[in-house]
Amino acid sequence: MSDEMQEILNDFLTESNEMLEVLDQRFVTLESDPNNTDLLNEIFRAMHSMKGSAGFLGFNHLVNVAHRGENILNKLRQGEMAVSPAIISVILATVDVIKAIMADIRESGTDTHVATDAIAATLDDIINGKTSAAMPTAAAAAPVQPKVETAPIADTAVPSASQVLPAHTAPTLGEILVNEGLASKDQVLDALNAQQHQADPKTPLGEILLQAKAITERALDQALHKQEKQPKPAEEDATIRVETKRLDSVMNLVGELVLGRNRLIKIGTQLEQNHESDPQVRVLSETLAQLNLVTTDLQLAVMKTRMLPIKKVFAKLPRMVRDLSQKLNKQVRLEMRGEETELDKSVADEIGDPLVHLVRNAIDHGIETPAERQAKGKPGEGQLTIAASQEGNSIVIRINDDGRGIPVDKIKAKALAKGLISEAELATMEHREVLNLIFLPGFSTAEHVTDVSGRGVGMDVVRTNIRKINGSVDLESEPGKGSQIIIKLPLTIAIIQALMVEVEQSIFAIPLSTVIEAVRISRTDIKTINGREVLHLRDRVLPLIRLAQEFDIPTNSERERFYVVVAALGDRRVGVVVDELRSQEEVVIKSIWDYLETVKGVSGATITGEGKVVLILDTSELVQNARAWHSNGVAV
Amino acid sequence: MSATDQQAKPQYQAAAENPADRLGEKAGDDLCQFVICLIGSEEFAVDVLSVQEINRIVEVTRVPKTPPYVEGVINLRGRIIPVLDLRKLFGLTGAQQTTHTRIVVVSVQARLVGLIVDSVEEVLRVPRSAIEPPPSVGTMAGAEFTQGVGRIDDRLLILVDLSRLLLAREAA
Repeated sequence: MSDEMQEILNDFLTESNEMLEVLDQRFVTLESDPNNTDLLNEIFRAMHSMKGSAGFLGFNHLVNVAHRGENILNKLRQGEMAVSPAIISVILATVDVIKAIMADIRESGTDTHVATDAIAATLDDIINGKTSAAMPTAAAAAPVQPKVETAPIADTAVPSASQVLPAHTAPTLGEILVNEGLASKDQVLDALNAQQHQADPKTPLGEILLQAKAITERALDQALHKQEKQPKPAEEDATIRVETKRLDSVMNLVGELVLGRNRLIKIGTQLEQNHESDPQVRVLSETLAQLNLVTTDLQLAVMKTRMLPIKKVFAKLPRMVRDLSQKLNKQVRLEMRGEETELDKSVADEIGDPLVHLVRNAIDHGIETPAERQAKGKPGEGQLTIAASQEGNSIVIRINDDGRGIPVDKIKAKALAKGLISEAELATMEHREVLNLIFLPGFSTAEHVTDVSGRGVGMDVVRTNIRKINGSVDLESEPGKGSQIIIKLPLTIAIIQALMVEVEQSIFAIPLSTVIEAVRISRTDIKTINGREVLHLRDRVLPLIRLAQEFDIPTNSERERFYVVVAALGDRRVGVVVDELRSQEEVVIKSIWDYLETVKGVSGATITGEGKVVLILDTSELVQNARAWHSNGVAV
Repeated sequence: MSATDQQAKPQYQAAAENPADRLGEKAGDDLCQFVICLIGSEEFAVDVLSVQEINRIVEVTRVPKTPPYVEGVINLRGRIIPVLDLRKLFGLTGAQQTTHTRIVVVSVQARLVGLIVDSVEEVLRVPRSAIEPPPSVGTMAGAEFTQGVGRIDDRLLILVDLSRLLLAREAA
């Protein structure tokens, strides 16, 4: 079994076990409160979803049982049947069978070891209205059919010896003998039959086989030894499920610890400078260094507990691509790479929807119909590649299609028609910038609204969602050849490196991931082009944003010298004018909850080593704002 | 921070131990308790059950592009909470921060919000019967944040409607 399959299976088992545990309780409650339809619905849904998963994984025995159980539950919830203790007993027995099957699956990977006919028949009787009062209760409807002589034994692919103990915990002697090739299946079967007909006390299987000269004593010793050595399959999983909330609170506490450490280090450094010769100070700084190390490790360890392979997010794509391409009469080959790339759960949770949307768009708008493709000399089958990789401190997801690309002229026309941008502004824009206009709110290139994509809410929502987790999305396209969407995501959204800057005594944090460089300039370096303040920086014209003006911070006097922090958003760069650069710090992002969430240009806040609250700038938002300003003809 | 707490607490406790019992004899079991805050000469009443703590004023970080009554955010032992200026909310003017200025931290729908007031007076028991709906006439500023008025002898308490404070942002 592949690792992937094993993982899916493990998830299924964990989930089902949880469900079963809940089911037991629910049934008991139901018995005392038989008319509780909500409860019935809940039980029904649990059974139903378990059946669905089991069907998907090909566990037909399990489906058989669960399906019948579901039928009865359906009748109960629709009032076609009354809840009676007898019915509950049978359903509980069903749950027991399902549990036995689960144990079997965990152990052997198949569900064929547990006999289900008896319970299925019992359930069928109930469904068909035969009175359940006479029906055997849990004991008789038990999953195990201890008789060996039942016919289908020989048909099953598994060694029949295991039939003796269907939900066994270790391989039986017979099984080992057969598997090791020490005895044939028929020999073991015969011996088991013989054993079955004996009166108690029964002779051990090995002895019967020895007497029948089927095996040598040595082989028996070997097999018995092996049986002893068999590790008992662990009943518990090697994993535990933890509420994300708890992990979040651990993460928060670690964040606090990081802040405390930062503060301590600051104090320590000051002490060191002032009392260099004091041995106690030296011990203190050593201790601090140790604490620093441990804190960093702890932070990493906690972060790792929240990491998921991106596979979990990708998992739903193949099915979606298949369904969608069929619906649209297109042929699409999906290739996924870098599925093992890990990212923070909170990032993984947020990226699912945007990803689905982008893939939909690629198939709907990007990839052409086979006929159209062939006419262009492309293979009829379109290629869609989704690749994830880690690049430094970010996760990069690239979505490539070899479709028709994005028509730049159409975008221009549309953006103009919708008044999203002015003609003059359009003239100054580069190809890439024009492409990225499709991320503006209210923009949609689809002429027809389909149920697949193109409601005009798509791309800006995609970008908003990605930005919410401090990610960025960028678009490249070559007409006729295809498009590429590049999503950059942070590894974690809780802790970032930031550049602390000062504007009129206020301190702000700029995420370092967006900072290219910082330069010192004097007032005369600032030029104006078309009412825009710009800076010529190594043959590049850099539009400037003055933080003081952006945030309506009253300025006391015109400074002579400034710092310009060059921030990048995709290909676009912008210079943020600040008074001073303070330091580079690792900051813990804290939300400034919804009351202030809508503040433009601020993505969050953090607490510095001194305990002060510092706002974290939303660089991308600032770039957008700058653009809006300029297009309104307001001189900076 | 801790020094702030210690300084702020005794005042709060002293107020609590002084139960303003002159209402005691006519009050039945349905008494409401309020933290009485002063802004200028007006007395504002905040439901005591909503008040988590009362702190001395700390450094408030301004948040750009917010309504004037949003003073900014503060660090409350690692949590960042918004702080509103009750004076501006109710359209009152004047007064600088003094040594009596306090931040009343209230919990509204499981969220914490700080309210800046000139000073905190006492905790007062008010019989429910003394609470009237806000006057319907008149266009008093901040009327939308008034839950009611409490009349006790010749005092007039303005009951702050905390849940409305959350909506204020949308209205602004």
